[in-house]
Amino acid sequence: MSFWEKGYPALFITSFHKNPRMHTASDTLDRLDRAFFLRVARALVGLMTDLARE
Amino acid sequence: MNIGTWVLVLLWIGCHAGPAVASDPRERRERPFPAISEESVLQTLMDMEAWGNRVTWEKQNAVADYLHRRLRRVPGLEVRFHHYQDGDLTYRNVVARIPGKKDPGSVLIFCAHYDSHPDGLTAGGRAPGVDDNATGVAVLLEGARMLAAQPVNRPVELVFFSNEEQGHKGSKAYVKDLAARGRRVQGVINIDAVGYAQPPLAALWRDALGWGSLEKWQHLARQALKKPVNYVKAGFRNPDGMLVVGGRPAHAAFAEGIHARLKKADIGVAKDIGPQCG
Repeated sequence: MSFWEKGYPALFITSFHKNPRMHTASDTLDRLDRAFFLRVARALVGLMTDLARE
Repeated sequence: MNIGTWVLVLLWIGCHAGPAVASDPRERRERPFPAISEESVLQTLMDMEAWGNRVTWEKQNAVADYLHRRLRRVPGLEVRFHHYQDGDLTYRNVVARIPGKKDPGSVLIFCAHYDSHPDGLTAGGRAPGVDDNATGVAVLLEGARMLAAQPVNRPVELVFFSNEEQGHKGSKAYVKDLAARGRRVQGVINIDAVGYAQPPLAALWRDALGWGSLEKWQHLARQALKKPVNYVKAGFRNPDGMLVVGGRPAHAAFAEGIHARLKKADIGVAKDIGPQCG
């Protein structure tokens, strides 16, 4: 990640190691784990608003 | 049981191996996480998939315009393009800024890349990139909407990168610009492919049962065997590591804090802190 090269405090958040279709033509919406994704989205949006409020 | 019954049982397992859905009322009561617009988030995924690929200069430009349009509709955001040159071509990152009074010289950054990986385009003629990384884009757009609707103390920038899958060109150009602007970086959180919790086995069964060719099935089997298989040992999933927070050892404390917060969401979060990251 480009931020690390400059020493900025940077983290990545991912579940890519779970997806066998990464970087393929079948990384499509019908293969997504929707329930999981919506939970993650809610948690990450919460994280964003919390950090910005601090 | 005959083979047909076994197939149905395996299909059922494949479809139900996911975590409990977020609409469980107990979760709503116990968790301090905000209600997001699921409709808006899923719409973003559909819009991003509909480009077919987000690899070429033309497509990436079209997506940049789309993101700019979406962000401009949110009151309270300062939206701009960040241009950079790559050979003869000019590419664009999209930046939405929310001013904050606390520590105005600093910036808290949330980012996600909007391009998709060229391999899909080469091998299959399509690079829909829904998990990688329409999911990150959808989270960031929803975060933008929520952040703009409430008081924010710290200056925040939401950055949508181009060309991540082609040498991190977009983020490199942005980091260079950031250094030139002399901003103190409070922290960076990069969201990249967060929509998949099902282990390869369930995916394999799905494909074997009619959603993929034999060739695709073999490809997936190879991919699955190359991956760490702790989720296989644990049965159908590894409950501790569906989502990974990764970072460098120098920022272990930052990673710890974020990991602790996300653990409250009961998603299954693991840490990956080491020099090999990135």
